[in-house]
Amino acid sequence: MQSGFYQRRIFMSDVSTSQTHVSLLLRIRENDRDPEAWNAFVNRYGRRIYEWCLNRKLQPADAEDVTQNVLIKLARQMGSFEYQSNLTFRGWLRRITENAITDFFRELRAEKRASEIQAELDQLDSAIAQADLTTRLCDEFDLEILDIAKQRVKQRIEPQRWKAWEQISIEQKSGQEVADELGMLVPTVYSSRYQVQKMIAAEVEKLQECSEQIFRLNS
Amino acid sequence: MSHCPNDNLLIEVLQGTISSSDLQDLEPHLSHCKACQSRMETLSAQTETIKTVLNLDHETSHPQWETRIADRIAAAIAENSLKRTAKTEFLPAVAGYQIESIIAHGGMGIVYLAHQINADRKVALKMMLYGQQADVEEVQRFQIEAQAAAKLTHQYIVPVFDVGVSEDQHYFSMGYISGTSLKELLQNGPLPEREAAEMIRKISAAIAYAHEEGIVHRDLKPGNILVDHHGDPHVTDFGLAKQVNRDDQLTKTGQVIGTPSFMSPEQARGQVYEIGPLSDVYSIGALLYATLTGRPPFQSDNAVKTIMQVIEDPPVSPRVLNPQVSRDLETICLKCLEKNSASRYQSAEELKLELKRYLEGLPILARPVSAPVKLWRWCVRKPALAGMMVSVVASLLIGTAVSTYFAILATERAERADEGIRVALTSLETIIETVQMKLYQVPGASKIRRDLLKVTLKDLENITRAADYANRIDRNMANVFVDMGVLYHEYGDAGGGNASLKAKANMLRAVEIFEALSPGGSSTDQNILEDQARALRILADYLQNEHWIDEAHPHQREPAKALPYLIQGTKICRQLLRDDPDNQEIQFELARTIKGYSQAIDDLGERDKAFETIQEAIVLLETLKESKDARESFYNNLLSSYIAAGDAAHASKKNDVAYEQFQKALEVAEEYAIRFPVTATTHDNFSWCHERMAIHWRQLKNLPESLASFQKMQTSLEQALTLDPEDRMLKDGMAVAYDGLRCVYQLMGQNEDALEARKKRDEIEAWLAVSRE
Repeated sequence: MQSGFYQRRIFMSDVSTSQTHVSLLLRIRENDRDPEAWNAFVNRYGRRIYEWCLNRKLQPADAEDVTQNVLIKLARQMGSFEYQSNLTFRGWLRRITENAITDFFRELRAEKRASEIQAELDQLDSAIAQADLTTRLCDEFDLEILDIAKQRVKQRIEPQRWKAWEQISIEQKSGQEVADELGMLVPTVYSSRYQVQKMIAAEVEKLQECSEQIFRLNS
Repeated sequence: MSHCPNDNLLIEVLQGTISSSDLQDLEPHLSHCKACQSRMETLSAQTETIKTVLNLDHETSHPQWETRIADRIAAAIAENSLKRTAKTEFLPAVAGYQIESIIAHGGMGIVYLAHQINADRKVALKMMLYGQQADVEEVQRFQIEAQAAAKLTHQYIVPVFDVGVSEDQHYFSMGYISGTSLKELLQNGPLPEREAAEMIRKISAAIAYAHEEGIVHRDLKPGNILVDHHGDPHVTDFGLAKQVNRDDQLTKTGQVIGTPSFMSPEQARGQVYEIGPLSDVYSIGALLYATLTGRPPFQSDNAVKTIMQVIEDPPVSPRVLNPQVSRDLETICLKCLEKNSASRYQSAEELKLELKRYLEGLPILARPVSAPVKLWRWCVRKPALAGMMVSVVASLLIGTAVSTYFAILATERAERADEGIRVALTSLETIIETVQMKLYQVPGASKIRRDLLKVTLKDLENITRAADYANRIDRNMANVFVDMGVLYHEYGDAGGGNASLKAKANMLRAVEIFEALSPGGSSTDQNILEDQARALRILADYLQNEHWIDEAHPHQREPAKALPYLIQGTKICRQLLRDDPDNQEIQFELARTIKGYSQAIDDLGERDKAFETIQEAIVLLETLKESKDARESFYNNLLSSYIAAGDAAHASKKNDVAYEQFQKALEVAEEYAIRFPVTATTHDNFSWCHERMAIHWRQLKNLPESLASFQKMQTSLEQALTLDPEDRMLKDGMAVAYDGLRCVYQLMGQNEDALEARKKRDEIEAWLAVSRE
C-alpha cells in the first residue's frame, strides 16, 4: 500500500511541461519587448486600468489613452524600480503602480495637455483613486496566479474530475446535478471538488512563493 | 451501510484516502442520503482565499472591455516601443544636453549619443540603471569614482566631461569615439603581430598614466577599449567597475562583473584587498593574448569553470594557438599572466617600456620560462594541501562561484532569458560538483566539511529553488537536485533545518523531473537515462537506510517505498547495457542498484531471494574490481555486498554460508588496504567485517572467538578515529563495539570487564549526545 502511494507521487507528480512564467508582470519585467507577453498583459492589467477610468467617468477614448500610458509607465517602473529588502512582491507592485500614476500625471502636466480633460483627470488624481487602482491591479495579480494554478492542475487530472470541479465551484451547480450531467457518483463529485481545490490552493501558494523568490533574485 | 458515516470517514472519502472496499460499502448510501451530501458539500467548500479570488472576477469585471480595445492598445504600445529610440518621449531629458539616440545597452546602464549644448560637442552620455531609491553609498561611490576618472586626461583614455544627476538618474558624459570596440575588432580574428603590440603599448601607456594618478581600472577587457578610425585605442569605464562584495551577493546581483576571462586571479578569488595596479597589468596581458590569438587566455562554457581556470590553470602558450607569434611577445604576454602578482611586470610603465623595446627591435628584458621551471610550477600548483588550506580555497571558490552565478543570471537575463537559465544551471551544477570535490579533498576532517557547508548550503538551496521556479524540465536541473540531496544527506543542514526532509525533498524532485523527461525510463538519450538511473538509486538508497544526518529527525528504513525506484533503475541500467555492454559506469550503477534492491527485499523478510539477488551485484563488482582502473568505490561496494549477502544468509540461519561471505568481505578489506592509501575508511572496512564475525561467533556460542573479533573491531575503529577523530559514524561504531564487548564479557562471567566496557560505551553515547548540540 505504501509503495503504491509513492508511485502515485512520482507518476502523478505536479510536473508541468509548460515554461509559463509565474506572472506576466515578471515576464514584462524581464523583457519589455515580448509582443505576446504585452498582448496578454494589456488584456489582463490594461483591462483593469480601463475599468478604473470608466468607473471614474472618463470617456472611452480618454480611458483608452490613459490605459495605454499607464501601462507603459508601469512597464518602465517595473524595469527600473530598485528592490528594497523590506518590500514584498505585493508591496513592490503597489509601489510601482503609484509611481506609474505619478509619472503619468507629471508628464501630462508638463505637456499642458491636461486642461482639456481636467475635470475627469481630477477624478483619477486622488489618493483614493490611486488606492483603488493599486487594489485592482493586485486583485488581477491574484486572479492571474489562480488562472495559472488552474491551468497547471487541469493538465494533470482527468478531464471528468476537472469538469466536476468547474461546474460545482464556478457554475455553482449542486452535487447531484453535476453527478447526473457527468454520469458520476455524487461522492466522486465531492471528492473531485475537494481534491482539485486542494491542488489549486497548493499551486497558488507555490506560485506566490515563486514570484517572491524571482522578484528577490532579479532585483 | 445504512447509517450515516462520521465526519472523519467522510473526509477520507473526499481525500481519496479511504480504502476501495470501504468506499464500495459507503457509495450507495452517500449517493442517496441528502444529509450526507450536504455534509460533503460543507466539508468540501472552497477555502476562503480561492473563493475570494474567484469572486473578484465577478465583482469588478466591466462589461465594456473588449478584446479589440486590448488589441488597439497593444498595437499602440508596440509601435511606441519601435520608435522608442527615435521618439524623445522615451529618451531621458538631461539639462544641458540634447539626447539624440541610444548607442548601447549595458549591464550598468544605457549609453546615449548626445549633444552637449554649451560645449557644442558630441558626447556619449551614460545613464546608470538605478531607480529612484538607489543605495546612497553606491551613488556616492559612483560619484567619487566618476569624478576621479574625470581628472584623467590622456591621449588614449576616453575623457569624462561631466558627472551629475538628472531627475534622480545618475549620469556622466564622456568623449564620443566614432569607431568600434576591440571586442568587435577581435571577432574577425587576431591582429597582425606589430599592430597588436602597438595597440597594447598604447593601452599600457594610458594605464601607466592612470596608475600614476592613483586610479586602477579593475575591469580591462576588449569591450572597454574603443578603437577609433586611425586604429588608436581609447580606454573607457575607468574605476567604475565595482568589486563583488561577498556579503551582499544575495541581495545585489554582481551585475558588473561581466566576463571573468580577463580578470586577474586575485579578482577571481575575490581577494578585494589585493586588487591593485598589478591586476591591471595582468588584464593588459590578457588583452595582448586576445589580440595575438583571437581568444582570451581562459574561456569555457560557463563562467564558474572559467574562474577556476583563471585561478588554477596555466594559460595555453599563445604560440600554440598562433604559431606566427614571436617568442618575445609570447614571453611578455605570459609574464603578465603570472598567477602570482610578484612575478609579473611590476608596473604598467615597465610593461610599456618592454613593449617599446620589442617594437624597436631591441632585446627584451624578460626571460622565457624554461621547461624545468614550468614543471616545478605545475607541481606547486597542485600540492597536497593541508586541511585548512583546502578549506580556504574551497570557500573562496564557492564564494566566487555563487556571486558569479548571480552575475550570469543578471546579465544573461537581459540577453535571452532561456539561454541565461541554461547557462546558470550548468554553472550551478559545476558549483555543486566543485563543492563536493573540494570537500572530498579535505583529509579526514568531517568537521571542516560541515563548517564549510554551513556557509554555502543555504545559498545553494536558495539558488536551486529559484532556478526551479519555472518548473523547468531539464536534466541539469534534476542533477542539481540530486546533488543537493546528496549534500544534505552527507553533511546535514548546518542551518538547523530538517536535513533529512530536505535531502528527501530534493531527491524526490529530481526523480520527478526525470520522470517527466523520460517517463518510465523511455528516453532515447543515453545521458538522461544514466542520470535518471543514478537519481533513482540515490533516492532509493536514502529511503531504505536509516540515518541520523539530522539527529532531531532520524529517518527510519522504508524499504517498501524504495522498491519501485530500484526496479525502475535496474530496468534502465539493463536497457543501457544492451547497447553498451562494456560501459563500466553503467555496470557499476547496475551493481549498486541491485545491491539496494537485495537489501530492500531482505529487510522485507525475503532472505533467500535477497541472497540470490545480490550474487549478481557481487559478480559485476568482482569484475569491476579487477579492471585496471578500479576505483575505491568498487571495493567498498563489493565489501558491503558480501556483508549484505552474509547478513541475508545469517537471517535464514545458514551460518556456514554467512561465514564464507564475511571471509570474502575481509579479503576485500585487505586488498583495499594494500591497493589504496590508508584512510579512516581502510580501518572502518575492517571494523565492519570484524563486527559481523563477532556476531557470527556469538550466535554459535563461541565466546572466545566472538570476544577476539569484537576486540579487533574496537582496534580498527580506534585507528580510524586517529585519522578522523570527529566522525560520528565511527564513534557510533565504537559504541557498538563496546556494547558487544560488554555483552560477551557478561556471558563469560567477567563482570568487571563487562562493567568497564559498559562505561566506555556510555561515555561515547554521552559524547554523541553532547556534540549533537
